[in-house]
Amino acid sequence: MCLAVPAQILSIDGVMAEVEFGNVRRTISLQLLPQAQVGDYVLVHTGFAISIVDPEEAKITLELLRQMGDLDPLDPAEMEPVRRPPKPAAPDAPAS
Amino acid sequence: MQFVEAFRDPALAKQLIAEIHALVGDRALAFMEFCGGHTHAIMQFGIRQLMPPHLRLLSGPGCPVCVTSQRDIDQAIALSQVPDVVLATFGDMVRVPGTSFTLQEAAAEGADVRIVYSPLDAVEYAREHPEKQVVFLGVGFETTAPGVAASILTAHAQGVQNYTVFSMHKYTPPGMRAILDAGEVRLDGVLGPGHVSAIIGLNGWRFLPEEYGMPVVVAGFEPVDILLAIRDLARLAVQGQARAENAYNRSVVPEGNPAALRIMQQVFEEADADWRGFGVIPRSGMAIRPAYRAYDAQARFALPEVPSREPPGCRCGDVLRGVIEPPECPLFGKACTPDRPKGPCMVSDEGACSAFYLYQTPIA
Amino acid sequence: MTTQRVTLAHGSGGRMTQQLIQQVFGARFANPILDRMNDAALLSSVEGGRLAFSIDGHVVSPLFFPGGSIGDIAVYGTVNDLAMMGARPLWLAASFIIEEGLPLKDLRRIAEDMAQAAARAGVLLVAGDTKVVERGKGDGVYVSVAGVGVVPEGVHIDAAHARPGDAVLINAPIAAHGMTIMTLREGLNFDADLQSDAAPLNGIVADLLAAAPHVHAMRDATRGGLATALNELAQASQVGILIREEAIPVHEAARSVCALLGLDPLYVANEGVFVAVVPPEEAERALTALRAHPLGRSARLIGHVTDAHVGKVVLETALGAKRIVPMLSGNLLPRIC
Repeated sequence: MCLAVPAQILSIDGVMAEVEFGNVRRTISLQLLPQAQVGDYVLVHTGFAISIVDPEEAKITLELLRQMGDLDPLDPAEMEPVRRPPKPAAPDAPAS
Repeated sequence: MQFVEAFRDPALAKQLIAEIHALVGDRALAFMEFCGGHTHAIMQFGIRQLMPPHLRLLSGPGCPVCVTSQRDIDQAIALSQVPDVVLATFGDMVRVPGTSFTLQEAAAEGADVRIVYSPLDAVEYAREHPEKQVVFLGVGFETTAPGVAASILTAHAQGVQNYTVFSMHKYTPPGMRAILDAGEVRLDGVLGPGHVSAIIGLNGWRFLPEEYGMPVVVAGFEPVDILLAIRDLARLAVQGQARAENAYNRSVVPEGNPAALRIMQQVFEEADADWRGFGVIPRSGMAIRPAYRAYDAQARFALPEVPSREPPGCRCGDVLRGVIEPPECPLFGKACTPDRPKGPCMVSDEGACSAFYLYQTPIA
Repeated sequence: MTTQRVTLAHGSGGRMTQQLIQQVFGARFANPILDRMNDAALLSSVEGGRLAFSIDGHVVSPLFFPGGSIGDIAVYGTVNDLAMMGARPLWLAASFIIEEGLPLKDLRRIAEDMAQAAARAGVLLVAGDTKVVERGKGDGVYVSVAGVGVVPEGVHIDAAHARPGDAVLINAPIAAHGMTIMTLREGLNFDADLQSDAAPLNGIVADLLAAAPHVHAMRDATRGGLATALNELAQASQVGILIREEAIPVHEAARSVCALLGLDPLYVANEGVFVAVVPPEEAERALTALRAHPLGRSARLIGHVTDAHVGKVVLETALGAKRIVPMLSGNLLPRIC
């Protein structure tokens, strides 16, 4: 179950918070994320905040991606030979 | 939110697609996702078309509506027809065909079926209408179950006595284990469901490399998120490394969400559950604990034994196990289309058959 | 009238019906044709053109919403259907099925909205009828409006006239109306900067035709949204339509609520949006004309007609992949997955 959107907490009143996503606001519950604070970004799913969204982590990921874009694409010939990990035999597994 | 918009950047997406092609080349690889949201996103962005020729993205039993058994669906529909019952549900369930008809058709016949965004809305409705019995259809995996658990705690705290939940919730790892144990599909990696992972953490997937030698990368839902995870999974698969990695670290941490897990475990306990396509998987379902019996629809209502029958010819079960692709089902595109679905996999955007029908239909 | 609500007596056909009609409707729609209060309106002959005739029923709930009411969309719905054929809308007839118990002030407000909408569209309401049904047998009020317009000589606009190579234009951002209504529903309420885009399109269409007289086809994107309108054109003309995701303007707040509810904006209803299929040599002039009008400031070229994938609409995603955009199956339902 996956449809969760990131929203920013505008205010908190007890266990309920007013959040904003785009220019939409809704009151949601912090029962599942009691540590959340005003200003935090949170994932909202079915009226609950389920996790913090960390802008710093997002930046790091994006930075890494952008840097990699400047490097040459990885050369498969330089990879180690494939060592298949143990797994149950599948009747139709093609030869690796 | 700019930092989220950036994960839709077509330039970054194209770069990742190139990297995936360079990594994988002509190799035959198969990755499986376990999340209806991923099924939908992959379809929506057309990601399959952009993959290397022999990299297959399989859809596993991650659509909670699709894996709900026919009997559970029939019982949910039967519940809607009990006098004074108001059935509150997420929209996903409404068009799923039961043995005789859908919830939507039951509503047309007079059942009071309401679509809600949050189970808390159903609790509030119950509070405002004490003369009604509000039954909430609990469908979903670990992303959704904590919220439903919280709604029961809220009803309890507010003294609401006419709110119950019909729990069809399930845990994701048992479904994954069932696929791997059956050995019917050769897999090289697992795309981890991003929002289930927000709850159970990266740690929830360590069993995959440790017990199955299977690499897993947790993925978010924007195009760059999914492509990044596929790239990382491709690298692990090509290098023969069985590891659990997190490509969604802005929303997922190793330990997940302890408060949500606690609440989920407080209200629900493991029980055997019947999964479409798999039969009974031990300890894979969430049953409401005896302490919260007052909020359990199965305790409050004597659910009729409805003769349940899956539609003849329907191969949703095989599709869910990844054994066949949707077009191999004899009903696909003929008797079964999004307009006239026979089984849940065709009903809505997150079903594998519906996703296949919409974008894999050859574009002349 | 001393009562504050519509009663069954108002539907009896007697004095109370007359009073209702005169005091609620007659006062607001006064014109020489309607004022005669005949069983049928007598219309003048129409010179130099074919007649266009359309009917639309309106069952919206709630009756009043940000940006309009059932009154507005009842008038604009029919006006726009006529405009989509290149017709100049002239006369409307309206039927009201009123539920017993509807507050009279609501009925007066609806009539007022209709009068203003008609004036804005430049049409006359020339005939009407009211009936009253028992409480519980109606949703406040149902309004059906039929309309007549005239299509000038030389204008040949038809859903079947799209041709490969034609440009597909849209006048305004999508999804505002449908999401406005949906967020007013119990259990789905969000506080969003949303209002219906209900508007009469005959003015902007007239400007469009003045600049691009060879428009091939037009369709307003009402129920079923843009996706459905394009599919109908593709099927009627037996052509393919290719649109670019990046080019489609979506109302910002509507887009956000769609994301929250798992809805695709392409399927959300609109009341002020239409697509025009124009020959490529007139596309630029057409776009300029649309943008010069208040209802077309955000007009865009969103795609082209092709001879590939006949009868189907294909969307090119931001990543460059292509997927089919089918007609809406069933009705639009929020999802959580």
